[in-house]
Order: sequence, then structure tokens, then C-alpha cells
Amino acid sequence: MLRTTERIGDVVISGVLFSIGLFSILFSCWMPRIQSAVTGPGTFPMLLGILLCVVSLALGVYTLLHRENNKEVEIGHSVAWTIPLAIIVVGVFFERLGFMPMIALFVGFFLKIISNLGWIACLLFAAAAAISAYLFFDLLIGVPLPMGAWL
Amino acid sequence: MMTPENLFYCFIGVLWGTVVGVLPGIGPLGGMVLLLPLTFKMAPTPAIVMIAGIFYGVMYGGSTTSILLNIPGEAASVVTCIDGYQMARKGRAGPALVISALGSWVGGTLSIVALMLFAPPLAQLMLKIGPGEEFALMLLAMVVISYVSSSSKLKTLAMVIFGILISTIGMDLFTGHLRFTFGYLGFADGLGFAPMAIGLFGISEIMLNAENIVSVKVIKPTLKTLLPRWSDLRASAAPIGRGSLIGLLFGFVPGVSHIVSTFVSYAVEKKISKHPEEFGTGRIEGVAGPETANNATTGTSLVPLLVLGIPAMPATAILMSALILHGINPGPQLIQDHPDIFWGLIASMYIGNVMLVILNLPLVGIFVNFLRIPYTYLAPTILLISICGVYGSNSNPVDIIIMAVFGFIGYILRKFRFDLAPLVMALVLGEKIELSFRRSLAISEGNLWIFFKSSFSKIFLTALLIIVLLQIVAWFFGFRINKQNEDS
Repeated sequence: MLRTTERIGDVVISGVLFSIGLFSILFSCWMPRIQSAVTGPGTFPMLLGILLCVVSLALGVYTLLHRENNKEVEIGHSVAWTIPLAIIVVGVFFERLGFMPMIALFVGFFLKIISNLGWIACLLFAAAAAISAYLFFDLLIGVPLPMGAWL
Repeated sequence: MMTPENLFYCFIGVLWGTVVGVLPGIGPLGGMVLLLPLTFKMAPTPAIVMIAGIFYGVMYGGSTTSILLNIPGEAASVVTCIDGYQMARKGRAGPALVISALGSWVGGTLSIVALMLFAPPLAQLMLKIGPGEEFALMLLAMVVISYVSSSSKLKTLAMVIFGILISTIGMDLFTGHLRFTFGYLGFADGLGFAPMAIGLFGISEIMLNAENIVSVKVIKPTLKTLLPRWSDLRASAAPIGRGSLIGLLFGFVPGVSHIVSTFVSYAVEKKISKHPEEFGTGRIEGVAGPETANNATTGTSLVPLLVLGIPAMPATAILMSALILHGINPGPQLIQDHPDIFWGLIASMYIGNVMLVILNLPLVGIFVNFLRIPYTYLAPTILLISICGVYGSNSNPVDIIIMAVFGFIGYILRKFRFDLAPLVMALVLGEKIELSFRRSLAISEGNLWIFFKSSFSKIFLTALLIIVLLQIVAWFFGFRINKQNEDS
């Protein structure tokens, strides 16, 4: 669990946004200029990059000048962090393992970390969820779900 | 509209909207984006009807938890908690729910009438505007959204610019050049609105809720106790009328119209009441007015979207993305080119409002039972729907990863009180803003005067300048007052 203040968070986020703006400006410079057109593909991203740099710099400076915003913020509760990581794992192995095994593993794992249920209950619910989802999405709605590269 | 398919999807939309409104863990935006991928396989009319059904259905459902639990189901139901819950504590949950549903129906119906009356002539007027005026108008809309956002103005502006920048990822429509794709062809069409929106709203919401899972105690009304007294109906009539008018007017204003309208309605009712001191103890006027205003914004908030192609609030931005995904460009030509969509949507809103009154009154006990479902079961179900829905849109597992990344981004931004709604609106409008900007410059051969030439442009840009100046003045005086306070 990471504890910080809103002020520090605002400064960090404005720094990140500034970097994104700067990256956009630099990347846009590499984009081709079209002789026959007034604006090329890099024109708009460059303008946006400049605006983002200006606004994020203003936000950073404003936050640094106003010292009263020291509200504590807790980020990084272990369960909260696990959710996007687990979803990324699902994305990576979704087509390789197949829909049903992957979803059953995901739901079972997620249930185990946020509830007090035992392993068997988690697995049963996970299996039921995977089967129900397959019936609903693949058979009823017609969303093509992957069977898995191993099949 | 009266085909069984359209009626069925209208019912699904309003039913899901009510469920989403009742369940505090999912907001209206999350509810709409969750079903968005499922509409890809549908024809445009039922898809739009269903998504719109969720939009106004949430307004009905949100009041249920406000009254029964003192937890607003969605942001616009916050005000209903004040007197609605007090009425429930006094054993008068039934009349509160009935008046809320009736007021919502009246407000919703009147807003549809306003939409029918205002949209066609406004569309005719808007056909006269070109890309220069369109750019000025969208710029004004973005600035107004920044101005009315609950978050700090700089933070909101940063979110808007960031959102527009993300929308540039993919193929440039003018030259075919790939921008910010880093060699991956899967990004040629951009990052995909559905994974980003579901990540920002749905996944981040679950991450926040997972930190603190609580169970709730529910007051469950019976059918017998639902009936209000004649005195309740008499006392609610005028607030419902006033709430309708407030909601209709606020619906046109881009930003947070449905939330602001409820607060304004509550303030008006308290101001003109003969017993203002009783507000907060269970006055029926405190429920009737705001709930009516809430729903009265739904129709008029669609006018900017359908006529100008500019979403007035985040929920209509999702509706706009649904239209675009089905190849329909919202704007002045929508009524002309796709009258079936426009009039089908209006007809569905009439029917949907009636369905909602039926769902929210005699069936309120069923929806209340949804609140008994432990969040530990609800959360994985929502995640499962999100993953399947996102994968279903493109059959691309990279979309699932994008959803996770944006879920993380949304979680961090929300923790530090960055408003996500302007980000989503910018994602939707970004491509349109760039198109109108570059088209204008192409027409004028690089002459920037095109943005200032016509009367419409002058009006929009003058309004923009006034808002920016007002904000600078407000900031300056705020800075001086803070300095004086520090010195003293």
C-alpha cells in the first residue's frame, strides 16, 4: 500500500502528462510533411502536444505554489493492483488457452482474493461463470470466443 | 419502432438501466459501455434504442437506492437521499418511490416532447454551418465542459487535451499515415473506444470498490405500502411542473446538466416552500422536484448530440460512440439522412418511459433484491462481462490489455480527483475536432481567418473568450483572497 498526498500525485501526473506532450511534439516532427496539403499528419498532434505541455506545466506549478492541498491518498491496495494485472494475463493467454479455461481461472482467482470462500466454492462458481458466459456470449449473442490453440 | 425486436431491446435497455441505477457499484457510464460491444452485431436502430434505454433508465433506478439506503445509485440521485431516505425511515418509502417514478415519467415525457419540437428546426439551422463554425462550436463545448466540471479547471483541461491526443492514434484520415502505432497494425483504427471507456469507468470502479467492500442493509417496501396519499400527490404536482421546466432548460447546457438540475430544483423547492425548515426531514417536494428535473434533462440533452453532433454529457458521448460505430454520423444531417434512427429513438423513449414506470413501481421489490447480492459475486461478473464484451467487439485480445491499462489509468486519475468524464468526451469528439480543423484550413488554404469569419463563429468564439476571461478573473481574485488570508 502506497501512501502519498494529493499534491505529490498532482505533480507526478502533471509530469507524466508533460512527458506525453513532449513525446507527441517530437514524434510529430518525424511525421511527413505533405507538400500539396496545408496540414500534415503531424500538425494536430504537435499542437495538442504543445497545449498539453503548457497545461500540465501550469498544473504542476499551480500545485507546487499551493501548499495547502495535503490530503492523504492511499493507492496500491493489493487487491486493486491485482485486477488489471490479472486482466492483462487474461489478454495474453486468452487465445492460447481458450475462453473457458482462462475465464474459469480468472474468476476463480479473483473470487479467492476478494472473498472468504474456500477453493472448492471458488472453483465451482468459476466453472459456472465460464459456462454461463460461453452459453450467453457465444451461443446466444454470437460473439466468437476462442477455443484455444491447444485444441 | 413497434417491431418486436426494437421493443425487446428497448426493454432490455431500460431493465439494465434500472439495475445499473439500483446497484451503487456501477455508474450509468459503466452500464452503458458494458453493453456497447454487444450492440456491434445488432442493427443500428435497436442498438441505439437499447443504449438510450440504459441512459434514461438509470435516472429511474438511481432513486431507489437513494430512498431505501441513503446511497445514491448514480450522481444525479444524490439530492433524493436528503428527503427520500428520511421518508423511508418514517415508513413512507412507498410514497417516495411512487412520486419519484411518476415525476420521472412526467419529466421524461415532457423532455421527449421538447426534443421533438426543438431538434428538427435547430437541425435546419445547423445545416448552414461549415467546418470553421463546427470547430469553433466544439472548442466552446470543450471549454464549457472544463468550466463546469467538478474537478479543478486545469486538471479538466489537461484531461480534455489528453483525450483528444489519444484520439489521434491510428490512421490519419487525410493522408493515410499511421500515427503513434509503433508498427502495430492493430492500432490503425485507433485504440478502440469500448476498451478505453470500459477500462476507465468499469475496471477503475471495481478497483476502487475492491479496496473497501461493504454489505448494505435494505429497507424493502411492499406493494401495499407503495400507495401515496392524495395530499402527497397534491403537494408534488407543482414541484413536478417546476422540476420539468428546470430540467428541460438545463438539458441544453453541456457539462453536468442532470446533476446540476437536481440541485437547482431542490434549492428552488426549499426557497419557495412555506416550510423550508422541514426540508431534510422527509418533505415529498424534496423528492418530486429533483427526480423530475433529473429525467427532464434526458430529452433536451440529446438535442446537442443529435443536432450538432456534440454530446452534452458523458452519457450522450457513449450514445454518440454507439451511433458512430454503426456508421451514423450525428449532426445536422442525422434527421435528414437517418429519420428512422431519430424518430425511432424518440418513439422508444416514449415507450421506454412507460416501461420504466411499470418496472420501478410494482417490481421495485425485485430490484431491491439485487442489492442483497454480495459485491464479491457481482464484481467478477462485471469483469467477466467486460472481458467478453471487449473481446467481442474486434476479436482482438489486445483490446483486453488496453482495457486493463486504461482501468489502471482511470484508477490513478480518480484517486487524485481528475475527472474522467471530460476525458471520455474528448475521446469521442477528438476525431471530429481534428477533421473540422483541418478541413477549415484546407478550404481557406491555411488562412486562420476562416475561424472568425462567419457570425456563428464570432458568437461561439466570443462566448469562449468570455468563459476563459471569467475563469482568469475568478482565479485572480481567488489567489488574492488566499494571499490576504495567508498574510492575516
